[in-house]
Amino acid sequence: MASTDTPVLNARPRAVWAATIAVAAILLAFTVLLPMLGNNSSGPKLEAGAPFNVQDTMTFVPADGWALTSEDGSLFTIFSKGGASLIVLPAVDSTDTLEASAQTAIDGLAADPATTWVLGDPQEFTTDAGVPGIVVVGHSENDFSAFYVISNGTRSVTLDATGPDSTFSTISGELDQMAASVVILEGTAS
Amino acid sequence: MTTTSATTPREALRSPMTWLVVAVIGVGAYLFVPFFVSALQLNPVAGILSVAIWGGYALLLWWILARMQRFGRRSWVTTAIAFAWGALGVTGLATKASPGFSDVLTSTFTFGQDSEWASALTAGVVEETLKWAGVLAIAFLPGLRIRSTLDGLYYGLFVGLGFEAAESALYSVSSAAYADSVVWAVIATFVLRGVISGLWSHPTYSAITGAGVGYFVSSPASLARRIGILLGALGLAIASHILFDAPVLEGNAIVATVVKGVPVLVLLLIILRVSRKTRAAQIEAETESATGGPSV
Repeated sequence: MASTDTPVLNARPRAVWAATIAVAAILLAFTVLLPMLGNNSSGPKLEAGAPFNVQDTMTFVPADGWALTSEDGSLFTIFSKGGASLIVLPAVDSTDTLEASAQTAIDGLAADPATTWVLGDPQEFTTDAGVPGIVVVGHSENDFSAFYVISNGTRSVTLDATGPDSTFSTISGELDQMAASVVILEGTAS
Repeated sequence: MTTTSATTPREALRSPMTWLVVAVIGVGAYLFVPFFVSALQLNPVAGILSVAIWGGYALLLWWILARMQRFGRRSWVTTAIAFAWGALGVTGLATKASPGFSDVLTSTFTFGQDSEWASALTAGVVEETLKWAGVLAIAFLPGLRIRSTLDGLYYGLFVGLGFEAAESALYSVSSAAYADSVVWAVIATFVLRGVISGLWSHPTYSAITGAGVGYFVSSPASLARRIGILLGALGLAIASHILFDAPVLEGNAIVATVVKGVPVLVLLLIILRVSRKTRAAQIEAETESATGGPSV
């Protein structure tokens, strides 16, 4: 299998075994040990499938593997998984249209002085409860931003996800599912 | 370090490294392909367009790099193994390694609003180490496929090219899922990742680590020096990758990538030049030894 214009040589069997064990150990450390350590260190994992109540103003169903990172009074709740963060704001009274909310997100990313974002067009969706929503997704060179707004006409909920672009392909489906599971309640954040 | 003997398919199958390479590429494909297939099902046009553009990009660079070879042509089978390690092995294993590393990093250190630093550190450490492991594995496959620093650099380029093409194709499809204009989304991702940062991206970093592997397995220097170069090259590639992804000197994507990328490309060209001179000297010495006098 080696090139035909040069002599074929073999490393000694002992060196091959040592190298195989070394490469296998490196790969196992990265793909088994690190995820185990990460699972134990990233905060309490949420129960997949059980609705999470945010300030009695809304509920949503976290996807498998997401952890509660921070619950900051009435301001926001942060969830994380594999370097990506999902900031969930309590439902608030709002009569803004979905398009206006999406435009606010687009303007915010377009004005970001730190990096250049390639923005997708706003995409409408409907939650499992039949409430309309809209999502704007942007990609910078290294990161993604996904901004979801769900509004029943009088109250709206915002979910803002950010993280390394390398995680987006694996979690974008989970983000869509979590946004679709949102149920807006009538309570007011304390 | 080496003994001379022919390698038969049976010997290749008896080597533990052969099976490790097969396992890594197989497991990587098992982890990576489902993401791509589900993205493809959601948006077939974007998927086909992404595969066409990034496949064409990889084939074009493959053809150019193969034509630029000196001192004999390298095995296309080994080149394909290097490409597959990057395209399937690294992309697949990174779906497990990157979230794990990131969780450990963010729970150990406080990044606050600087989460882009966590992303940069994760991508640099995880991706470069997994690519480096691929060149190291190829070096110990039966048939000693890496016999010089230049060989290591060459196969490192292909590990990086495979990774870049596969990862970027998936990014393109994912971006297109949230865009009205599928064609524009795929092209925008290609311009950003293939054109603006393509020259000093994954292939460049893994070529540097590959050169380190090539030096480690081929140099007559002391073991300590060879290990130093092996790990030093990996550290250099990780640092270059982190710097490239880090939220510094940003504001204009083109200016930022050029300012952060050109020094890495220049570094690779210097390594390439030194490696070629060393290889030419090796060949000269071998010719003199074989003929009993200086070569013409």
